[in-house]
Amino acid sequence: MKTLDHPVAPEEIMAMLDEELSTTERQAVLAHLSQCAECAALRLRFESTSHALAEWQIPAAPETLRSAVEEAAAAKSERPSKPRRRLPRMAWAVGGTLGVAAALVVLVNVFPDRFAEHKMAAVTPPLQVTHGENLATFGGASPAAGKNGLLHAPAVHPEENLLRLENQLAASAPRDRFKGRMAELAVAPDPNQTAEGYGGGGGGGRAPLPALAPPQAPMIAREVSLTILVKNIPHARTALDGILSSHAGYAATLNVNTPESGSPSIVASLRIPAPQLDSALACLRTLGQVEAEAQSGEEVTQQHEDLVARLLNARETEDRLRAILAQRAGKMNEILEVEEQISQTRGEIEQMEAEQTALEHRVDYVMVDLQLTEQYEARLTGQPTAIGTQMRNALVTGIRDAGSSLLGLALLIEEIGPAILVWVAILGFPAWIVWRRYRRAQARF
Amino acid sequence: VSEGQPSPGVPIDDTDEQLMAAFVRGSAEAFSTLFARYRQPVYAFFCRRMTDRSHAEELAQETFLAILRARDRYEATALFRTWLYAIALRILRSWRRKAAFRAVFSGTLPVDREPADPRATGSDFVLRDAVRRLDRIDREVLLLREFEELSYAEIATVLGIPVNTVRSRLFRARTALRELLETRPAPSQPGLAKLEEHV
Repeated sequence: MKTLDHPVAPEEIMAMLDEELSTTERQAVLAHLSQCAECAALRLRFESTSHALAEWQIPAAPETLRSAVEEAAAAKSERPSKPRRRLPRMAWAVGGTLGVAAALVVLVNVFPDRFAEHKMAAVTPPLQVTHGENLATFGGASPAAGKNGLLHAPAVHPEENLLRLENQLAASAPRDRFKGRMAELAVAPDPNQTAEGYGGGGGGGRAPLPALAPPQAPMIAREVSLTILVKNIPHARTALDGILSSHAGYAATLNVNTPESGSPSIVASLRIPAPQLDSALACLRTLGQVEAEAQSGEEVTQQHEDLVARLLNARETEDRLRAILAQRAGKMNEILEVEEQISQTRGEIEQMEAEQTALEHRVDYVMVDLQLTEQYEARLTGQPTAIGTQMRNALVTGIRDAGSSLLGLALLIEEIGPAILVWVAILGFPAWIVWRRYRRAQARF
Repeated sequence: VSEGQPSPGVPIDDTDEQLMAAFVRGSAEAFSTLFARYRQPVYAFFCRRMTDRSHAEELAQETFLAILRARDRYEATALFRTWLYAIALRILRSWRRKAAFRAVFSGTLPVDREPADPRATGSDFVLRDAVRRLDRIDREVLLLREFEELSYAEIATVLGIPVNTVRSRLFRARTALRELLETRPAPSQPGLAKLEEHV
């Protein structure tokens, strides 16, 4: 039966039987059925199919179904349903908690420095410094002392704060400790005098103990880090030179960076005499806006004492060896051996003297790491590029980026493709078997 | 809940939607009346789609329990029976998925024929077998139309397909079913007797 031969489609006949047509359409179909035997036969076949299906009988529902549903309904009626507001309220609580947590995460990530600063302030209370005190423990500097006499430690490591406390204690009572240490070392102030004493004693006993050395203040090797934002780098450079010369300091290293796009800057490592540090820092701070400042100090008193003691011992040894050599009492081999010992000891003495000089230099001269950065000001450089050129450049960049992306994708596929193929080969067949069984089972249910 | 008997206090001529609205307001009698109306149709819905009667009873029970649970979420935007059969179909599909998944790993596929039932007639078997051979969606459209007596629009809503698709699939299902029934032996014929011996 072709639709072209009949004004009514077979589906329309079916729809008419299902009462899915409007009155007009139904009348049209009925009119055609009264004239067309083929369509009338089709209608009969539809009806007979429906009649055949109607013979499919289903037994009555079992009583157990009713009892189970009755029990559930009774339980439901006894337990009134909860108002729907609870869910939104819980959702608000969960959403609010998540929102606060997300805000905290964002804050910590966006302002890590500030967070660390506040955390440090909570851990380490500000150090109390008497106004006017020249911070003896630091060799005279109180850079962060505010007007109220409180020394706030901006982003300083806790160990440095501990060091400050330690230095303050050392400044209050360093002398007794130093006295005891010097007594233990039995320091001889003059090596020659010691040599004479050993020589006079026949080399068997120790020389009489010299007078105790006067107590010394703790030796602090200090370091300062300073980051300053300046308006003009050349002017700042000139001012920096003036500050160095006026404070008898010098620049160990100094690098000037002038990038094409960006702010010029100066990175320098300065050496400032310790007594001049306060005034030098005050002058440096006037160069611009201080963005970061940190100070640290390392007490090297013990290290220096040890070095001095070892140096004295080495000198005593050298003196004794020279005394032995002066007697010339042994054989030639023994004399040569003594000379060799003297030479070795002399080398050690010179090395220790160099170390002592370097250590004392670290104490005498404070290392100041300085970074000067100029405030960035965008400038119109030369003539502006033509729009056409910019568009062409953008197109070239885009094509290049697209090519790079495609290349990266190809490389990625080449890199992981073989591994994927291996796993597909291993897992593909079992997965296909499982999937086929699943589909087959689903079709049967 | 009594079979076919309306509950006291609930007018017998109330529509399904009116009863459901009363049930949402807390009337247990309204639910009893709805259950009395749809207990057998829902049970038959599952019986025609699965071979095991115990499973059909279980899923019918689950459907009414789902209505009890979903009472607060009911919105009278569609006919109650459309909503009811949509729930039943969803439960049936979920059960089929789980059963198929279990069958994959347990290796126990369901039997093609339903278990012997002394109440089953030969025509029941032939019809079930013929319907089972139809395409899945076609079969569902046909069953919803012939037995649940849903309109084309309601079938489209329940199955989530366009109305025109419902019409074309229903035509195709009826044509295919007619051909299947014409090619199979009648229940009184000797061939069917052999099949009946099987079941």
